[in-house]
Amino acid sequence: MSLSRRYTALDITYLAVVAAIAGVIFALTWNIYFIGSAVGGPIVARVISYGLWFIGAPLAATLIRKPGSAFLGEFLGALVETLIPTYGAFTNLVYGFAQGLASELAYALFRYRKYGVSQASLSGALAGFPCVALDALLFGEVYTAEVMVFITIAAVVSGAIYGSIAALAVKSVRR
Amino acid sequence: MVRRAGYRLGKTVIEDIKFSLSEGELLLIVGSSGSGKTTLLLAMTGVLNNLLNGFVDGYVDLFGINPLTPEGFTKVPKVVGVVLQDPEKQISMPTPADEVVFTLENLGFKEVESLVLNALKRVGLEGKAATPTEYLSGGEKKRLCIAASIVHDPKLVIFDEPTANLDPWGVSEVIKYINDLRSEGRAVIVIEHKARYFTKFSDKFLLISNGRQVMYLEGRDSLKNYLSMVKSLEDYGVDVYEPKLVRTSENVLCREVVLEVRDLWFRYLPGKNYVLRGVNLSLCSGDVGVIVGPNGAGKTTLLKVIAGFYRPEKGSIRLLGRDVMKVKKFINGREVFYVPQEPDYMFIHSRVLDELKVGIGSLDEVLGGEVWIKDLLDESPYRLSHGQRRWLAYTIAKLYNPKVILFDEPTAGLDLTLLKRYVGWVKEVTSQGKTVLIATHDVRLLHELATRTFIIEDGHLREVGVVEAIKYLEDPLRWSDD
Amino acid sequence: MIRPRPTTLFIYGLVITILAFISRRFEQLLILAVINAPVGIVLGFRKYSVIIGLFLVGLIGLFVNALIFSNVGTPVIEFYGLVVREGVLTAFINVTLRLLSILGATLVFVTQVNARDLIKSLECELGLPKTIAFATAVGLRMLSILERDLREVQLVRAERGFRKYPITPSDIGSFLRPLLSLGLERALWVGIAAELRGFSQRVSRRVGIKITYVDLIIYALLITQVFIVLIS
Repeated sequence: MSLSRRYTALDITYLAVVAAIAGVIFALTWNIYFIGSAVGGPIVARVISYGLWFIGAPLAATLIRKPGSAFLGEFLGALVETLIPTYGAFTNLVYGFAQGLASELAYALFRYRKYGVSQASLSGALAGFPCVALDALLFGEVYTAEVMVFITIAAVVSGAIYGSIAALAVKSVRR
Repeated sequence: MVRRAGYRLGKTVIEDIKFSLSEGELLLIVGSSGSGKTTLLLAMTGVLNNLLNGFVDGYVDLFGINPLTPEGFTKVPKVVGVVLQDPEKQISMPTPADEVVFTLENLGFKEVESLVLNALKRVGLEGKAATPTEYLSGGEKKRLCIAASIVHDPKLVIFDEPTANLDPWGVSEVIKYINDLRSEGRAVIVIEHKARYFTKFSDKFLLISNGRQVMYLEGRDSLKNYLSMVKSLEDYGVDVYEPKLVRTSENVLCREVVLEVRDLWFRYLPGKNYVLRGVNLSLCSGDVGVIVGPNGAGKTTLLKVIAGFYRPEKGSIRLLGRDVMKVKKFINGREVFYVPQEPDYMFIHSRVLDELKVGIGSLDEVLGGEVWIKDLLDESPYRLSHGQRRWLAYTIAKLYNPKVILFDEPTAGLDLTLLKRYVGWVKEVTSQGKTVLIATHDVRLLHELATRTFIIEDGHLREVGVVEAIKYLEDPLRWSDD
Repeated sequence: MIRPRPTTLFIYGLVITILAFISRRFEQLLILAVINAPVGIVLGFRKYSVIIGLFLVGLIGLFVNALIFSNVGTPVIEFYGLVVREGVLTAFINVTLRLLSILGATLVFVTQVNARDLIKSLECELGLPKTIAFATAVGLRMLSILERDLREVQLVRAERGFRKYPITPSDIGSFLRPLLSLGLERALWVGIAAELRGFSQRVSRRVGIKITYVDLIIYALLITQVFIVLIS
């Protein structure tokens, strides 16, 4: 990996692979979502599948370690998912954009110097907030405030877990 | 000339390499895996120090350009075309036309249509210009890479292991293309560990071992001399032998029939063509069956059906007399185990130690004489070298103690040293009574291992003698003998 | 009728989605849904019936959630002791309309546009930076290889006695590792090849936005809906 902050063709192809993997994970997660949805509607569905949807960012950032990689990992993953296409299509793009920005924040807080497991966890966790906020816009009429709080906590925790899984996988694989 | 180069400051990978090449000449660079051939490629094109944060100490002159400087590096693509080892690791665009156009667009060409069409015509792909890349065969993808690398009329074309992953038919095609490029007056560099395909065409020859230049020959005559040095080249892991049409492995007396396949018919989707047509095959304990055939003939599919991953439409598969298809859970690692071509598909855990914890027996038993693995137990399997990962994959297979082990192209990309290690492993395992079935197009395995040989073409399988199979694989390359 | 440009449909879909997100009132949502859903469903019925079916299933779950969480207001129906109040209906209808609008726009996009054309179109017309365009193109190419990888991994998992589908987080990890390992190896060489083919000098040529009358109609429709939402 080049040490400057510019993106080389290598960084971009690495990003592409992450986007593809993230896109596949996002697409597969819809299955889990639907099973949950049939059981208990959007709440249960999201609770068990949330963290997987934030995984693009920690994967990309732990790998590429440059500013913007978290955001791009998540957003491009969402773009790939939109183009497959899956059920969510454009909603994914909106979520991906917002989640990506939130995840990027986690790395910005460390001044883009650290890209370890804790940072990955944090970035997964932070993505939970815009995700639930968008959920509120999308489904708000149906849910009460208490429910929203519960969903937020589940999202954040789920995001943290999958964020660390992502970072560990990258470390295990990088030669 | 490259004086010193490596990936990390302080850790030199290659040293003291020196050569020169003119237009219309072909330089053949040989060496075993890990000898530094690829590093040399990366060093001389400027990739090593500009893209990968490595270092290069020395002097490189590419038609007047110095690729080691950032400015020089940007000029390299104009004069160089590169064809890498694996088309799947090079093609970036969804259709062939896009792929070829990519090079031109990067370099700022404006009138691209005719150039693209000509390049595709040259490799026989103009009819598939808009077909999505994933539907192309392996050989077609290779040709696409060649087209994309010459469309901008480079003065130098570099091929990294051009025959890897290709069946003999694909190999003979590639050899022809490379020769054509040389006759057109381009400078060509071919990096290979299978020297024998190119020695007849090379003008210059460079042997690398452990990162150092061991031999450098210029001129066709000195190459004829080298052919007499075959034995010593093998010591360097370079593959030079011509397969002799003589049987070398013994016939195994059949003590019990372990695997019997009768009249197998299979296709992936109803309505499509059958991939396996009436296949009959039987193996006894201790046998090493080798199935050869072109890519796409059905070798992999046959192995997978035998392994139980797919149910055939017609026919039977019997393991030790039992009809396995009557068994509900056919996929059972205990009896038949399939080892895929890519070792990475095999691994589940994040530590080597966990992968080895299968079945009974102490760790020392499992590891046998392989001392080197003890230091790597805590390591992630994905961080091992290619040869080590392959070894780990076969060991895992053995740990499940199956009666039959199926190998899909186990020696693709392996140099002589690693090949010999594989052969030794198989011999040991079959002497313990196991049966092995290998699908391959690698001639070297026929020689060393096969006790039963089969040819599969277009879904039809027939048993043949080893000699006939060797001829079958060598014939496509015959034209180059003169 | 000429096909609209991919960029047009992309922008349309995106803006409608954003509008749907910000609309809170029944009237706004009704208009959005009525304009977009029928067209989308008609176009997408054959190829994407699965998606439409899943959508309907999701509605059931949505209704159940509405019953549980927003059962307020004056009762409307009574059902074996279960009282359904107007809160449920308003909530359910609003959300459904919103989702319908998005579904409609999505289906229109998805049936008319293919990925490759879209990326080319975005790069040439909108000036999408080459980084994103290239990453997406390579990503799509990697996708098909990835699916193959996934299948192989599942086969070996089955024969080793492990689950074929990931359930726990550690399962996800054990799927991620081989996919990453193989994918990154490919990415390394594709990247090197791209650099050696001059990628860093690539300048995306902006051809400028091409618009046909079909595009104009779509944009007009779009602007109308924007107005309606913002003004009402």
